[in-house]
Parts: sequence; C-alpha cells; structure tokens
Amino acid sequence: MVEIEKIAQIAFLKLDEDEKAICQKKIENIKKSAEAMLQEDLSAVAPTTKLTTALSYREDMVIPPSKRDDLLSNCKNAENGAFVVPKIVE
Amino acid sequence: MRIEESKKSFSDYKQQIEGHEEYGAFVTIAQEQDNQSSGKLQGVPYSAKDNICTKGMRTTASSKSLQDFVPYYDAKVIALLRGEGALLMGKNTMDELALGSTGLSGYGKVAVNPRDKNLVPGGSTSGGAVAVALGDVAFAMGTDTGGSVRQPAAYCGVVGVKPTYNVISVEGTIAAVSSMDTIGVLASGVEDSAKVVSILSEGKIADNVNQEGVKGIKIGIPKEYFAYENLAPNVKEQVEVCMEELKAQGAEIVEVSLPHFAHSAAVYSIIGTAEVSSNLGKIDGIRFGYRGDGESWDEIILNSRSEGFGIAAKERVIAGTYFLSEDGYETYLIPAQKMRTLIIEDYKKAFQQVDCLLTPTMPTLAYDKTQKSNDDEGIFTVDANLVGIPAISVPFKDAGVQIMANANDEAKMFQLALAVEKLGGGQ
Repeated sequence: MVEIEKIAQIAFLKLDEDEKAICQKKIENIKKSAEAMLQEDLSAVAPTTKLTTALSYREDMVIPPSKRDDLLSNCKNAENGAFVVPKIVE
Repeated sequence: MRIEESKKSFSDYKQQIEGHEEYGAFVTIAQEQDNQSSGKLQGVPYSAKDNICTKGMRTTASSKSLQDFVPYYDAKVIALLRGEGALLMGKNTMDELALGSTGLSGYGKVAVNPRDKNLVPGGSTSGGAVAVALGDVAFAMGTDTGGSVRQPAAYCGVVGVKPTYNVISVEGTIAAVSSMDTIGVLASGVEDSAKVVSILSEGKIADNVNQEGVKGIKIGIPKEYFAYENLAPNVKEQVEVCMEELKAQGAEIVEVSLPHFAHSAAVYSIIGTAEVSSNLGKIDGIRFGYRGDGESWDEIILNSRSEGFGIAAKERVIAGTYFLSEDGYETYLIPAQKMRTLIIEDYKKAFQQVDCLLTPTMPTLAYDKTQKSNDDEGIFTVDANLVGIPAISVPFKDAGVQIMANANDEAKMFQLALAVEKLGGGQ
C-alpha cells in the first residue's frame, strides 16, 4: 500500500479521510492495470518521453517580455510591483 | 450551424446562447463583439474550452483553483481565429482542468447532453460539444489529451477532431499532459472541422477535403478493439454496419493487429498522472489563482491547492506524485514509457498495411449520469494521443465512429470521415 499521507505532503495537498481512500484506490487500480505490462520483457526497449514521430516545427519568434503589471494582475496580494508573501527566512 | 450559414449578428447569437442556459455549456458568455477583423471566418461564432486563455476573459478551466483567473494574453489559436474574423461567443464548461471523461467533474456549472438531459455529455470538452450540438456556435475549440474532444463528440452526436500532435500550437492553453495535449475542434460537419484545423495549422494541413469517396482506400480494423470485453453490442453492431457500407462503396477492409493495445490504459494512466502532477505544480495560489489563508509560505500553498482543487485533480496529482517518486518511477513510469514505444511501433506497422484505422470512438453510448463511469471509458481514444496521430469521431447512427490516420496524414482521415458522415446521413 502506498503511503498516501507522505505522497500528499510532497504534493502540497491536505486530504480528508474520504479523499485519502479515493486516492489510494486510484493508485491501486492503476497498479493493478499495469500488472500485465510488468510481465513483459522491456529490457531492450527505449522509453518514449516525448513524441518525435509527429514532430512539427514552427519558426522561432522574438516576443516582447511580459509587463510587470500584467504579471501581477492575477495575484491576490501585490504591493509596490511585487508579490506579497509571508517571510520565509526566520 | 454550419460555417457558411453563419450570417446572424453577434447579439442574435448571444441571445440564442443565453436562451440555452439550462444546458450549462458556457462558463462565461462574451458581452460584446470585440473583433472587427476580416478573414476566412469573418462573423462566424465559436466558443473555446475554458482552459484556453482568452485575453481579458475569465479562464477558469472549470476549477475553483482558477475561478478568477483573467489572462492578459490570447492563446495562439485564439489569436489566429481573431485574425480570421471569428466571433468568440464565450468559454465552455469542461471537466476540472481537463481531467475526466464524463463532463461532470467541473466546479460550478456542468453541461448536460442535449440528446437527453439524463445522459452524460462526455468530457472533458463537454460544453463545447453541447454548444455545437445545440447550434449555438459553428465550431468549438477544445483540447484532447486522451480523447477529450472525440469522447463528447461521440456522446453528443457531433464531429470532433484531434490533429497530429504539435501541428497546432498549444501555446496559451493550461497544460495537463504535455507529451499528449493536442488542440482539437468540434463542429457539426467534417468539412467545417477540416477548415478550422487547416487555419490553425497555419497551412500545414489543407482545407479542401477530398470528395472522391473511398474506392481504393485501405481501412484497417484493429481486432483488439473489437474484441474488447466491455464493447457494447449495439455500438459494435453500428460500427460493423458502417464498415460493410464502406466496403460496398469500394473500400478495402483489412484486419490488423495492435498487439500491445491491452497495455494502453495503464500506460496512459501512469504517464498521464505523472505529467499532470508536474504541470499542476504551478498552481500554488501565490502568483495567480485561488489563494487560501496561511501564516507561512508552505501553509498558503497547501491551503490554496487543497481548497482550490476538486477530487478529479487531487486523485491524479497524488497518483502522479507517486509514479514520480523513487518507488513509482523505476517500477511503473519507466516501464510505461518503454511500453509506449512498443505501442508507437504497433501503429507504424499498421500504417504500412493500411491508410486509416476505423474503430468505435467509445465502447458504449452515452450513459445515465447516475451510473458510475467505466475506468476504461477512454480505452479507444488514448492510443492516438500516446502515438501522436490524428483521429476524428464522426456520428454514425447513435454511435461515434473513430478514424485514425498516420501522423500528418489528415487528408486521408478527412476523406474517409466525410464518406462516413454521408453514410450516417450527416452533411
């Protein structure tokens, strides 16, 4: 069984008991569905981490950098052109 | 509504959309016409899934975590459509952060299926499919990561297309699974969908669909799809009727094998959740999105994510974090990435034998909303994303018929799709 609380801590999530059970089941179901795959000999196969079979390139384009006011426009707490966050150094 | 029939004014379209509020297709309805450009889609009304950024218009991805997010930029596809004179009528409801296949997991408004309000609309581009089915817009922009355009298209009886991976820029869309995310289009007909895809591909895909029928086209029937244990007999029967009719018109039907199909669902789930957990890491409540209370930096992030995400996002983030952990990475993620290679090889071999593959889009017809969804609901659609090939769902009787083609061979896919559409009594 996967330690859901430990995983949740890494993922910055707080889960109630029902949510923990749902997440546990989700992982166990995926692991179960992967059982047959894990029986296959994959030692000589290279992993696919990005698709190159269908790669399509676009022209490189220079775009202007974002403006500071735009970047701050969706922040809930900004002052003097900066994000306001709690102190992180004691 | 067809593109060439779009002759009404912005306010008439808006009024029609507002009159259909009970269908829950829109998170946000545009209040005024903001596009006077002329072009190939001048005055044509469309809508966009709410995970596609629209300058000055709220983009929530149907998630509480982004409930007030107003982008200061347009996604690339929105900019291209704006340049062609298309009218953005609003943003469509969806499964939360594009994570789901029922269309029911969004925060706030949820779309209902116009065929029968008790049925699921399918997801995750649920509102877009509903808006097209209702004739509220000529087309809707969606995203398709594992079938999110084709699935609601099949359930709502419209056309849904996912082109080759990366042919259309995903710049400005809220990422879910970066190695699979693809922009897609929903429309009432194949030719309209091809026209929009062509514009968005910036010339890489031709907009004229070959009208010469199917004589001489080699259609592969993947035997593993038709042997799938949860394929409903009524869906199988309808797709087989379609195959017979195509054969009668001169297509060559060939059985093909995709030997690693049995592993697709696991591969998709493992890689998909891993990439989702990584992509959603940026939603922390600090720079944008819902912000929870907290005395410390960590507490703000913890509360923002815990209160902002629904269970659809949480279960995937947790699963993905596990598959990226020391334990899950070597045991599951690497083997899944290796199996993806073998699945890609299977399709390469199949396309050496045939021009297109034909399958059902979904294993069942749209089902009652009170029923639990099948975990393998997207079993027939995920491969196109794992492999990066183009795929389209076309209505045929009550079902959706899926056509897949080799990478960058949209022309053949649209040609066969048009023939299926005509057989099904479509446009």
